[in-house]
Amino acid sequence: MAVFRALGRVAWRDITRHRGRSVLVVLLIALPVAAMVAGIALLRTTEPSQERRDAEQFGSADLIAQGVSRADLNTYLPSGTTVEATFFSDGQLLVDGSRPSVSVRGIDLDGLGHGALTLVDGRAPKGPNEVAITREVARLAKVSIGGTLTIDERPPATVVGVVENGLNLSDRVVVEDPLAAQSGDPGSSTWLIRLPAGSDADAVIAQTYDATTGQQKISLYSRTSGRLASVGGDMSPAILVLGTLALVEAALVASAAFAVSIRRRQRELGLLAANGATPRQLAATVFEGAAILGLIACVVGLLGGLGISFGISPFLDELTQRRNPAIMIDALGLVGPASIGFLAALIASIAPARTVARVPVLLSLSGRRPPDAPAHRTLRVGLAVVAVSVALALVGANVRIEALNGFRELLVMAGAVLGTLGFGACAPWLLERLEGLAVRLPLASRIAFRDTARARSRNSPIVTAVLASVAATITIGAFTVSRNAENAGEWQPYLHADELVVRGAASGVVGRELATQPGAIGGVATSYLVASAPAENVPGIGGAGEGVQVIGSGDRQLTIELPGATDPGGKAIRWGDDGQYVPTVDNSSVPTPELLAAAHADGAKASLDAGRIVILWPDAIKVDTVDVTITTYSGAEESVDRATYPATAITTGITSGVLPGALIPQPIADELGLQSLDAQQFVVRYDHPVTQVDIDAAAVVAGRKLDTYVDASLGPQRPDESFRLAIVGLALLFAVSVTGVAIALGEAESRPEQRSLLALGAEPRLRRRIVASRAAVLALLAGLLAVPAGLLPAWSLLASLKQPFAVPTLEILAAVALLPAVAVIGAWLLSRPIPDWNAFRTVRPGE
Amino acid sequence: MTTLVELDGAARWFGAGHTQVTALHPTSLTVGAGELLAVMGPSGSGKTTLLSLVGGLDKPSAGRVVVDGQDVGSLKPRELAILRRRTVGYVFQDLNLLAGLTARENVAIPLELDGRSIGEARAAANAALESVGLASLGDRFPDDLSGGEQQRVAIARALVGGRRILLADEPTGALDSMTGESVMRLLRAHCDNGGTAILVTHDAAHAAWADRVVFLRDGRLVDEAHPAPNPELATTAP
Amino acid sequence: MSVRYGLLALLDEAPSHGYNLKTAFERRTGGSWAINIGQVYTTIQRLERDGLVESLGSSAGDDERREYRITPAGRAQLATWFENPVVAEAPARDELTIKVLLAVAAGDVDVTALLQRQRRASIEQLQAYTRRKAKADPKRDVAFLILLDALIFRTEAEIRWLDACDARIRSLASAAAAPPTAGSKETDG
Repeated sequence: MAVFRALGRVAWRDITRHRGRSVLVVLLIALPVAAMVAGIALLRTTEPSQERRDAEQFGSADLIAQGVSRADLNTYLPSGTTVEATFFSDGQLLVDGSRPSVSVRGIDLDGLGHGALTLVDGRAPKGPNEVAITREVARLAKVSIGGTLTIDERPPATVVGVVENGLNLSDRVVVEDPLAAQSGDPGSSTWLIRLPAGSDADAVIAQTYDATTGQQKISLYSRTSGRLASVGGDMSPAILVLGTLALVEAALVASAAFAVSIRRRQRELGLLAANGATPRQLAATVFEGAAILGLIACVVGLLGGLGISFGISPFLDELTQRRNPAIMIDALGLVGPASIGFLAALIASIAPARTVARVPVLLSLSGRRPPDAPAHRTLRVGLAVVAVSVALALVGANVRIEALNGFRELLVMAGAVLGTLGFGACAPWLLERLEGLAVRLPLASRIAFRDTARARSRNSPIVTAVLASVAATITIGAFTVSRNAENAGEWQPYLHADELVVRGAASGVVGRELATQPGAIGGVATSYLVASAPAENVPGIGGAGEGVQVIGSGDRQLTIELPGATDPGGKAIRWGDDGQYVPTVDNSSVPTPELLAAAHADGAKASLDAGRIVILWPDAIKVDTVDVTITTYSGAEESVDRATYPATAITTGITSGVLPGALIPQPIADELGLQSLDAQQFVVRYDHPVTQVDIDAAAVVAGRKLDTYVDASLGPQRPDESFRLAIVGLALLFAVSVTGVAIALGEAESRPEQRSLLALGAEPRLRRRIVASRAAVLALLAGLLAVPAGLLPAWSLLASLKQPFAVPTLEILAAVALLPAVAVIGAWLLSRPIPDWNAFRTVRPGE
Repeated sequence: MTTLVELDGAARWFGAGHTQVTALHPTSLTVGAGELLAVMGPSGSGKTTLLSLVGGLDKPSAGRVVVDGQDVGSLKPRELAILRRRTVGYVFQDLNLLAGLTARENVAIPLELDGRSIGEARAAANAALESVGLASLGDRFPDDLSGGEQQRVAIARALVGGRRILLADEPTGALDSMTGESVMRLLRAHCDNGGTAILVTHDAAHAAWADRVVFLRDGRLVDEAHPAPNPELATTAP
Repeated sequence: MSVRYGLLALLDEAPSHGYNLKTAFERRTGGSWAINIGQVYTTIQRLERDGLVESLGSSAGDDERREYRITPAGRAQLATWFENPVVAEAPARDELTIKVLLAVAAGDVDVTALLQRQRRASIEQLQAYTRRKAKADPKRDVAFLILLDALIFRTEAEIRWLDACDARIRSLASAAAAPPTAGSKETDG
């Protein structure tokens, strides 16, 4: 034991003597520990509890019933039950220049609705002309308590309170008194039900089931029965996998750190060996050093993680758009990461300890670098591991064995972790190849490349650690992008990205004004063709002030049928579930140059001049002729006039509606007796994609006119986007920190070289170039390897879910361009030039 | 004899007031072409300070240091760096070479720093390596060279590109006597070919290779030695 | 002592006469050790008296022409000489040592200056040796170079001894001057 105490003292003295480097080693281990502690705490804090989810839906009710009359409901409820009506509907807020949608809820905030929404100011609305609104609505309508707002055609209501949805702070909700509700059909009401004390909610639910059919007779559910199959309830596999990944990550980074300290202590350990220390004892000092540093790192990591958590907490509500409780920390969230960090430190010291025990004493004493393991051997191991990971991922993705169902994600995840390690194991070989390339590079880069390659056994774990975090980002990104792509696939815009539409009575005036403003490049008032003059047949057609889309006119309806339409593959296009309908276009216009420009259909001009009808279709389509049909309704009778014309299709990427789906040359329109009507819509074109800023600016103009507002087709909301950016940001931060600390460790070794370079006439900033090149090599290699390592698991998991796979461009760009760029710039900014000569005056061998 | 290095009342001190430490008191000294000057003195006597002033690594606190016609004190950092790459060459006791670069690349550094093409720099490096007898070891990395070979590479690097002033700080300190002698022979040959070298050492046997030996003590030049004109090799046979 | 064994060693190679022995001896010692012919004859006569060499007697009476060869007893003694290390006489009795010892004891002599004067002289001596060494051909002049090395190392040792004296006197002086002055910032001069 005395021997071990002596060796422990050697380890401890080494740590304290090289304080700067020990701090770096501690940081390398503390970083993942801190990230884990903070991650777990923040995740737990921001993940709403089931109680809160229930409360949002149930308020303080026990049961919810839907689509049932009060009388029917009563037969199932025990006496003493409280029942309150509540309803949900949508409405449009009448705001100058725009019509934002809001949810309208009839709910008694003082009654059973208490808890669903929180009244944060004022009081609950009572009677027909009072509402409470969320802050987001207040912002949109520019009102506060005491002000009035109007929803749809209802009379204006006075705002008496401000409410908040704790789970979605940007929710747009208008609360009405359910008893005085303007809308809401009593027959289809939703009821909030509070059972008398002592009643069993599930027993009440049970009696609503028909004993023979097993069907529920009325729609009644409780907190437990209404709950969906618990979402994310079973987090254990994910935590297991993430924990393993963190352990691997921490161990990799720590092993790099220990490799540096061992290299530094090589001679000292050689001296110990020369004085009779056995290999086992040498390994023990390495272990003890690792244990001491690991312990310190865990404490630092815990404190750092807590610091991050509490540092972020004031901004958490804003970030998540949720009312979050105080930071939640539990013992497991602290002990887990700390143990992982400590374990990682010990695991990380295994390899260096083995090296120490094996390096011949004479080589240790010589102070020369022990030869690194041949890179091609680790390459073979790495490629084999990658192959295994691909196999696991493929098995996870494709095997359709029931017994494996629960393990499928786990298999894919294990494949992902193995893949990361496998690609990481290729790093030494790649570093060695890079060294060969270095011959032609300028001095600073050559020095950086060579040093990085020479110290490949230390740098490879760093590359792997960076690669792991970036690969995880790419995987997450691939999921997000693929899901977004799937959503986006079902959505088509009704306007081009550089356009907005002014609708309503004064659309022409407002539109023409907007079209002349900076950024705008013109516009057109849209019109549509009808088969007969409106004045004679249908009063009110043209719908001045209605803003309603008019397709046909009175009893004669114009439709263009596309019986010969095929997709690019030559397959006939048909509508309907059974493909029984010919595709049709309902709104058509006579082309004007402005309209062609607005429709992005300048290419149609030649066809129009040649007397062809031009079909504007969202997707690629092929038509040669179309049938123009005019259907005449006369009582129950209907007769169809049909004429066939040559036609050409243009792919627009947008659905018709605001812009026409067909352009009919004036001669054909005249021939058919078609008339053009003002659609009371004006499309304004900009020289850039329309943003919310443009819309808001246009809304201000439109707001000056009665009943006129603007709209644009900005695309589906992508709630995951900020999450995605945050993940990329965090991964970059982690990757750059690890790279930075690794480089700092390498720099600490290079003092004598700096002295030599200075004496040889290098300008002091040469060092910054070397440091930046080192960062570039590490970050670029990690980024490039991360692309396949990250895409592989995402692809296989998506394939297993039969979902389309989309490439996450943002993450890949971040990996191969942004990460190296940030690493290089960071290294450049944080590195110092070679210090003044006098700083080297004490340099002696071994320092 | 052309004067290549001149110290004119050059002094160097650190700090100010109570904490001021004088490393070198005002010192005057000239070294000419073809001359090998050795600087001897105990630890802390100002040898290295003197050398770093001549090498353009440090500037005098007072007085002038003129190296190949350039007043070191008046040069900007960039000009000092250029002086170090074109005019003077430095050799340290140890850790001279950049471990990541081959011997040839190490020798080529000053030329590459000076903006010469890689090819040109390597050709010059080959010539320099040949002059120190290491032409065949150009592709080796420093870790694969012996201590003496490393020192010779360092000398090749200090001389590459036709530099005339070689500054060596204990270049033989870590070498055995025969290897040290081979390094000294290189310095001697450099000076016999019209170059100049200043050698800082505490080893009398190596200082004796010099044409002139100056003695520093507490930052002051205290004495100077020239070779005895006609040495007796032995006196009496018992 | 060494002239006696030097001649013995030469005669061990081949019989020779007095003048040849003198030139061979000087050549062997790198031309550094001049001996006069009288010393050679005196030594040879002593060797002959002790039965270590014998005269070949061809040209009897003519000292200059008389050849000598080594006897078995001479060979045995030569072998013993080569086999035994040379041990310097224990207490140093050379002038320099005595001078420094007396100067330190006297107290009113500037010992540091004395040491530096001696150091300069020794270095100059060393420079001269080194100069000759630099000019010597390392292949042909091996004996000469070995001799020079001997002289150089001896002189170097003397200089190191002077340095040690200097350091001792300095530490004595700084111990006397309390408090000790602040050390130089640098670790090396």
